[in-house]
Amino acid sequence: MSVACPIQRRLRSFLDGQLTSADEAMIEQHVDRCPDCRRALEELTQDSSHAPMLASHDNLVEEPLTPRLRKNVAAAYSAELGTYYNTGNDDPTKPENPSSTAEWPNVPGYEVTGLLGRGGLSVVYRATDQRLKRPVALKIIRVQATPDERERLQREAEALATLRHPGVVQIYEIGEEQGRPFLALEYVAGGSLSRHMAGKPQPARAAARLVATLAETMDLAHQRGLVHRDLKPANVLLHWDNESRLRDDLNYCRPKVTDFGLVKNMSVESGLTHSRDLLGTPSYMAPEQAGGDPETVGPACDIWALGAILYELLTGRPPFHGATAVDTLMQVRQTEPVPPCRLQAKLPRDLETICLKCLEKAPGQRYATARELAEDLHRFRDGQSIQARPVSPAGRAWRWCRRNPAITALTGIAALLLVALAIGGPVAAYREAGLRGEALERARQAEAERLRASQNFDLATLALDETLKQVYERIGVRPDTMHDFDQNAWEATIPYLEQLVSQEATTPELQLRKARATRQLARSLADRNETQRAAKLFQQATSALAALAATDAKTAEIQRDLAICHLEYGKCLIRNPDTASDGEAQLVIAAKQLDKLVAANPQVATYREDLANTVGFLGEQMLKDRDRRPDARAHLERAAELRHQLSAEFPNKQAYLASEVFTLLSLGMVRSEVNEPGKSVEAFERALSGARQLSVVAPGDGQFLYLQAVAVDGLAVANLKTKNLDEAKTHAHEATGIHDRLAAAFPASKQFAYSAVQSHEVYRRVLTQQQDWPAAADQVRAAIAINTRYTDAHPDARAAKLDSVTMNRYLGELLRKMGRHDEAVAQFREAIALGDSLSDGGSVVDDGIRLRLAEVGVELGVTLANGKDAAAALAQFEKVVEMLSPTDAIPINRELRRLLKQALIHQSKLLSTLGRPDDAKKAEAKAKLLSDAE
Amino acid sequence: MNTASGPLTSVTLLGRLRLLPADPGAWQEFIDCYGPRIYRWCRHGGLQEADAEDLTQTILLKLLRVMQTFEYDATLRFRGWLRTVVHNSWHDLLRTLQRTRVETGAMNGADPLDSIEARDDLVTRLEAAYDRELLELAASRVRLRIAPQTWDVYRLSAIEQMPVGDVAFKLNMKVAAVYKARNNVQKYLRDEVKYLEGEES
Repeated sequence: MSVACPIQRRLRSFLDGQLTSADEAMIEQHVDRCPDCRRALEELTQDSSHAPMLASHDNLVEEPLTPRLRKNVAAAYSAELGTYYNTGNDDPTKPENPSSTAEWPNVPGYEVTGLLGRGGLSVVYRATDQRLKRPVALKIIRVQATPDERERLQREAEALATLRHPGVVQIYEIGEEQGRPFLALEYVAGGSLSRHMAGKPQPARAAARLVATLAETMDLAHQRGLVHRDLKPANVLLHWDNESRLRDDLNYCRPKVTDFGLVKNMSVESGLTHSRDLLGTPSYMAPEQAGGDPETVGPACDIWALGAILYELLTGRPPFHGATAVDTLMQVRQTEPVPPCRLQAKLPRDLETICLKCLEKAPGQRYATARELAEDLHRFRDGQSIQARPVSPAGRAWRWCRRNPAITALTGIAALLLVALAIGGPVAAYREAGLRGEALERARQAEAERLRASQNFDLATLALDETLKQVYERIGVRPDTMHDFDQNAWEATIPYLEQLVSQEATTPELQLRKARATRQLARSLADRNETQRAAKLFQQATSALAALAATDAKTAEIQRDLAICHLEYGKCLIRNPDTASDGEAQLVIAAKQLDKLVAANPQVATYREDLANTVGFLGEQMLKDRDRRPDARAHLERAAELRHQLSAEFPNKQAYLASEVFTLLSLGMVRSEVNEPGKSVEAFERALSGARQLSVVAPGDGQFLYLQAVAVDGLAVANLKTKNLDEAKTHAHEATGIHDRLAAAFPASKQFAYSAVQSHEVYRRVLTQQQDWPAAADQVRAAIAINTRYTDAHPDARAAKLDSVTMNRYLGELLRKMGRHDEAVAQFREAIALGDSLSDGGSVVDDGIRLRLAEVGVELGVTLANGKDAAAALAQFEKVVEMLSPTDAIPINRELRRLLKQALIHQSKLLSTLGRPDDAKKAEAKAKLLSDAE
Repeated sequence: MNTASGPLTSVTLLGRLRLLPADPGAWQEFIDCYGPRIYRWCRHGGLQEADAEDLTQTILLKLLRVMQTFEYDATLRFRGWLRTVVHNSWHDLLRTLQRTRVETGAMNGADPLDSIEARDDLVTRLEAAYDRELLELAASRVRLRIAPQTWDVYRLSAIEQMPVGDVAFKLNMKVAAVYKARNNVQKYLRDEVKYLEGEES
């Protein structure tokens, strides 16, 4: 270790954040340079237990049990659960805990015979009223009761007295014995609903009936201004007529509400309600109740609780249940319940809808009154259509996703998000690549259910808007990020779009959405190279939008849609060389329409952006054709101008700046091509400053760094053209530095690898111009290394392999220039071997390979001839001539012809040197023939 | 408001089962999570497929049954509880096992499953499942508390084993800062696991 190395203990303190920030900065600086300290830190932060366990997820997953075994166990356990609970203390007359009879109170007039239950405030005993010889439930307040608690018991008695109703447990007497207030209440033999359920789902219709009855009872209470605030299965007692043979059948029971200990009288202002204590039972508590604000607690709380009871009846468990009360309350306030149908497959949809309407977080979204709830439940039982509207499928999918942690939550609806974007959402993008993969997987899972559910076009589209909004909030999508969606992700949306497109659209609004869906579907199909279907759909969308634009009031927006449709149609057509000119025509239409739109609505930035996109794309297209460079330049100038206006006007929008940088890079290139190096430099410099600005905003972003590097490369090329070699060298040096870092950090990126190779290539050209052969050779070696790393990872990357042949040739030429003859020859032979391996032993021969092999062959021949090995050189040229000589089947192009001529001339010279003048003349004649043909 | 905190408040599967043995979601999950490990244990002990299935079924049911009736003992930490559950059902299991062996005529003399080592091996396997569950829960909770980049550091450098230098470049951080972040996350994870385990006990 060097002298300045911090001792181990100090590194430990650094890790634990116990140093001042100045000391931290010092250590950070030091560690960057000191491998010893890095090793020490590596050891100090080794994680031998957790990380491997988290990493080994896949290999640790065990083979699942066979379905038969699984079913057997489940069936056996269900059966056991049944017996377990039923063998519980069913006979309420039997003392539950005989050992504690000593604690039973002595209340004159009553004989206590058993313990029925304990609450927070009181104990309930089973007793007999000795005067009337009837069973009662004695609710006696705990010994340590506070005045508040006594007050509550009083209030409960008053409430019960107000509610003379068969659905409410009756009150017989309120009294006090030895300082302990008590209530004598109607004894209900059937026990509580919670005991009856025993955690098992109940038949749906019986559940609906029971909750309807409860709701009617609560409606009565609400009319009298009473809110129960603690409805739950344990507070619902079940009464069966004694002679009923249908005991235990929920269909024939009479539920009675009990325990009004938390009752709130809406018409009375009372000191008790000012307390911010949480009152109630977490699993059945409404969110507003869980919030602890007594002002907001009203009948809606009871409606929530009725929904929670219905939920538990249907699924066997309460809608929310955490490990602790606090956890449960958090869930109540923040998470959506699992839709009951997901827990009980055959549950009627309508009943689920009713249940979930009760469990809406916002009180205003629930049933307005308990009566309405009761009526909807009766409607369900009578087979009529219910009033509650189900939460749309997308909405439900969204809620379902929200229950899942972090990433999984937002990926489930990613495909829907995409659809929403296509048919009406704002343009947005998100960048996490990993997310997209998961999104696809999730989308596939959700697909079956979604397809079935999204029958209603209207509802589906509206729900998608809602989904979109929530997704934005949830994952913090930044609509202005520069990255577009991965085209693959659109694939996942095709089924949804097909569904939407096949729907009848009745209103102009829906017609517009349908047209957009059609357009997006066309685009997705175009990406899958289903060009014909795509074209047909594009035409459909175009005519639908044109018709809408003629009639609808929101003309500008629709005209924009129409223009975008032409733009995308054009892009689709342009991919195929046969239809490229048609595609350009579409693009020109789009540009014209957008031009008009911008002129009429100069304040709308989006239209200008669209116009810039269209004009810029046209420019890029024209750039591919050498003869149309001036046209390309004019378009790119226009696009750059538009983009510059936008980014100047909205300095905070990264996307505008990023687009401007892209356009400036193309503009710099085209200006250089039309020999305006000065202006080219100006464009690249602007691009560079833009890219630097972007990197400041998003320092870790490889894309922005990449843009910088390309801009610097552009400067190098422009300076190379004007022979400002020193300037060019500085730029090339900087550009290759950035490119190397990028290529190393993202080894799988084709874009970065290709660009890094190009950058080294520019540097090589600069150094070659300066005749610095060794340095140039270093650049070629660096380029070859990057290219090889890439082709090793992507064995199919044929173009990159062809480049390797060429780069090996460059290296050979440089070696020759350095006088390292043998090394040069070896290098050329290596290039030839590489080319041969690409042609698969000669079976795959296209012009690309032939050109590169011929180039190397000529260079090798020249090198051998320089090395006085005339025979070997001759053989080499003969090989090239043989490979390039045209036949009827294989004509040759201009490039190849040039090489052939070169080879023939060399051949001829060598033949005369070797004393074969006749053959030399023949070769010369062939070369002349080629010249004449031009 | 952090909408993601809800799902994370649910405790581990075994914890839920102990609190609510009749929760159908919980016990079915239990069968799916722990069943395969028990089955593997049976096979490891030399049982044929069909016999292993029988014994797995018996053990699963036994465990579930014991969980239902097991008296809550606040002094017992979760592992102790798990161990006790297995120990309590061990005697019955051995009887089933012997019956299986006799019926199939597979075994005379010492049975590899009929030993304290085998029993402890079963406990170890179940504990491993529990540990893993606990850790995953802890990781998801930690992850929500810390900055995404800090988690990325841990994910890349510890879980995916990317060299720290590369991580530093990729996330545009100082190398030392990467170590520090990794160290922090490890500490959070340890604390969270400890905390969760405390909750479960």
